[in-house]
Amino acid sequence: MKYLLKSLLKTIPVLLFITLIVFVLMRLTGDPVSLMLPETATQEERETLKNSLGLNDPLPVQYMHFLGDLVKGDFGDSFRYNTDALELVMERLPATIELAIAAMIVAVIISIPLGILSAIKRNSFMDLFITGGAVLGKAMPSFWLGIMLILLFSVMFQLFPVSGRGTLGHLVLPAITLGTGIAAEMTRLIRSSMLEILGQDFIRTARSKGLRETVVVNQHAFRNALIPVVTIMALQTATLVGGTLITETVFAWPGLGQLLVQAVNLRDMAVVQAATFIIAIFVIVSNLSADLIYRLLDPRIKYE
Amino acid sequence: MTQITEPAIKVTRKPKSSSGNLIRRLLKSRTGMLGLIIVLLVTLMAIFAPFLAMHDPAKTDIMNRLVPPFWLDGGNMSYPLGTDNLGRDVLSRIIYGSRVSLLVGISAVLLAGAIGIVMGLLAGYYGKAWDFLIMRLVDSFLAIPSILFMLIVLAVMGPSLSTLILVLGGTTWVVYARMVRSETLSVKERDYVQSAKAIGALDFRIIVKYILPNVISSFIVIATLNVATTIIMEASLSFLGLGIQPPDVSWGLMLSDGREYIATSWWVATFPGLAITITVLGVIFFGDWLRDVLDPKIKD
Amino acid sequence: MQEAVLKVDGLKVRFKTEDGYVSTVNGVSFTVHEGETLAIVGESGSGKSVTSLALMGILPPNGEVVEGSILYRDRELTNLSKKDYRKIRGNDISMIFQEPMTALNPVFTIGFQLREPLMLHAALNKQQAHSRAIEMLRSVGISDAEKVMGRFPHQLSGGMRQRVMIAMALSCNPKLLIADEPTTALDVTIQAQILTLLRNLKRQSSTSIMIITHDLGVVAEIADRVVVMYAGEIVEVATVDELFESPQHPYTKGLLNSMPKIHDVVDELYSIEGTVPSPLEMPTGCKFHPRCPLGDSECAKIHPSLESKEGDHLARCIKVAKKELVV
Repeated sequence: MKYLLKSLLKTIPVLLFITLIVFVLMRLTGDPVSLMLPETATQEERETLKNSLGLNDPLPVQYMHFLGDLVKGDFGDSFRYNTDALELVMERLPATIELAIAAMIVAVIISIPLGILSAIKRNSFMDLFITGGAVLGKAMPSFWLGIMLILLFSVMFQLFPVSGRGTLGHLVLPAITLGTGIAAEMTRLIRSSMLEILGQDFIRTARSKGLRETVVVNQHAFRNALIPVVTIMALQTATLVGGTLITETVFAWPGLGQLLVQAVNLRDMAVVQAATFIIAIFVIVSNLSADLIYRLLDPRIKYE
Repeated sequence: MTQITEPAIKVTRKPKSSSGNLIRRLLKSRTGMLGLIIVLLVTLMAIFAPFLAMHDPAKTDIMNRLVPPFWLDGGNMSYPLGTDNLGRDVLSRIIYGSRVSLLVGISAVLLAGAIGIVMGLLAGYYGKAWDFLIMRLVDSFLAIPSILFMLIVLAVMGPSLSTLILVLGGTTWVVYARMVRSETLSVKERDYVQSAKAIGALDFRIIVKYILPNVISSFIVIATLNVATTIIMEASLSFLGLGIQPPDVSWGLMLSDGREYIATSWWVATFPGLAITITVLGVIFFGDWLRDVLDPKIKD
Repeated sequence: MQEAVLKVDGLKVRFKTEDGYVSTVNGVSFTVHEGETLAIVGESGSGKSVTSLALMGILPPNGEVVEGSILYRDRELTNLSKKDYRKIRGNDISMIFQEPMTALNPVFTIGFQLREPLMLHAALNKQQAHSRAIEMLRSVGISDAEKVMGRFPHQLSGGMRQRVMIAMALSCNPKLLIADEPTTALDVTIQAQILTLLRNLKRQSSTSIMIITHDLGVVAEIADRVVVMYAGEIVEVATVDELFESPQHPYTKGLLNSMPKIHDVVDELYSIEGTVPSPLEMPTGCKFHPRCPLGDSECAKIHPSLESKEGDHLARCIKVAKKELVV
């Protein structure tokens, strides 16, 4: 519990930093007053508005106001949709989470068996094939993979819809697109982690007990190999979330990523801010939970 | 009591040969060789683009819209890989697109490297407040998806080639900063550096003479592999409409055009994607080979 | 003489490396009798650990037994199927390792790891295995056995872990226990406790022990017979008394001279110059001759065979046979 509190405290500077970046960038975007008033407005009118918006206050004061609004969840309205930016973002969030979870499932299903297989068949043809595939998965831009999947499975075989959200069929291609890159990274990680563990003394002990090789590998080795994999997976959450931006655009998936990309293109800054914060919080929360899972997996940490 | 610990079965290997036979070792590694060839080809393609391309990459030709590649019905050798929705030659655009990929990839990495080295040195060498501030900055950058950061900056500053390089360089420097910092910390404590300091050597001299040589091989390897990631990043941002803007050509941009026509004209999106994949593969292969040869202590 | 539990004949093990095949064990033959404790002694690189892994059938993937036979009672192990080998491993023959720190799996409880072989070989259910495991822990001198069952390896001291390893190895009443440097990683008082434990075990059961060590002090404490290995070969075989009283091979003499004696005050211990040659650069003739005080040009040519110097006392040296043999 104390640990959890400590990690939560550690995220504060990160969040402050993000707010600072957004604040500085917002102030660089030019004069909000000229956007809000007609061209014919007098200098006096401009000054009044500036005062009422607090734009004449010293920058630190402005920043504190900005933080205050953030804490209240007040990011302003989207000028495109004319609604509260945060509401808009929260509406889109479930779709993104659905996609992210599906992609993670795809990545896990692909990478765990392949990673283990290539480690135990080290330097074999199979290993070469799998590691080669992993490099390819890393080299392929996800949006190209997505388009190729559309070409193959939607256009040619007509198995899955081209875009949109709704049925489970809609989810398949985006999940594979987003999951493949992560699977490539995870396969490589699981392989090297397994190789390291398989060389450990306790694996020799497990074999010397007469355990079946599958038990040695899948229980004794994998349970240990999982520890570093989970840690690095935490960092993959950022990649995963970043990947949703692109995947959602390719498949017109109505999630947060697509909303953000549109908002950036339209300079709908209220939405950009709101989406940025929600994503940042999402990433930080999943990093924290990965840290907790790590602690559950490694008994050595708990008691130290 | 004599303490001889029994090691695992280990056969002493011949000592690793040094720089003299780099070429021989490159020839020995098939993927390294393949990587080098790909990198060289793409570089040549970028340099000699005006001589290689058969058409002006930006010239539209409504009469020849969506011509298929030459081996399909309706295709011809004038447009070997077909044309896009505006009748622009796909092959010529791919050839010109390599310029943007390499330019952005390399200059963003150099920028990131420069920022990273300075930050890493400040944090590692001067420590204390510098270290604290810079490392918190690094943590923050690692906590948010870099593409998110790029999007915010691009939203504010508007997309352009120079912004793109700035943004890519400005978000990926943290890797170098961490590497340089940890190396600096370990080198700083060594006796010869301590004694150089004791006799009053300038910080600048210590940094140039003792610290930089220690980070150079790690830097080369990380930088090479980051060129691969940066090329993908550039393509991704251009695909999202936030990178290279028409009439400039980028592989990512070509893909976003091709996305619309995937149902009828698959070649428009397929070939630029293939170009990205092959280029990135080449850089990764070459970088992996460099890692094996230079053998820096890189923690993943 | 008692019945042989294990008979190794002409065992040859090689490893595949980047530079081709490398033999680390070359024609090793010895026998372990029932209830006997046989010590295999040698420096690191002598092939003693590889021999033990070969007996267990758990050589690393790049290693293989190329020649020779391993006879456990009347069963040939070298051509046993994987499945049949598993039934012997941890059941009839079990093993404890040098590093108790790393030999136990860090993510499983002691109880889990102790129950495993019992449920596998003795076909016990979880409860039965649990109570048997507690029994085993008590028998190796762990008094708060129930508590230890729920612990993880990192929560135990090195000595405790080695006791757990011994309990685990003995849990299925093996006929042969292979102990690879069981005390090397422990500090001196714990070493003594573990050796006492092994000695008691020897007295109480018919389990044969094959102890692998570089430490002649351990040999003197526990062994009945000794096999001395050097560079993948056996260079001397003798009973423990004969070995300490009249060592034959110059290498054995060197090892004995390098042992500290309690009452001697010496500034520096004697040590054999040089190191065990790498399998890639094996000297011709007698493999020990470059380091041997008696080595000469003749030794560089002739590879001596292991022959009787006096009854069952065997040694592999041409010099000894010619000059020093006094019956």
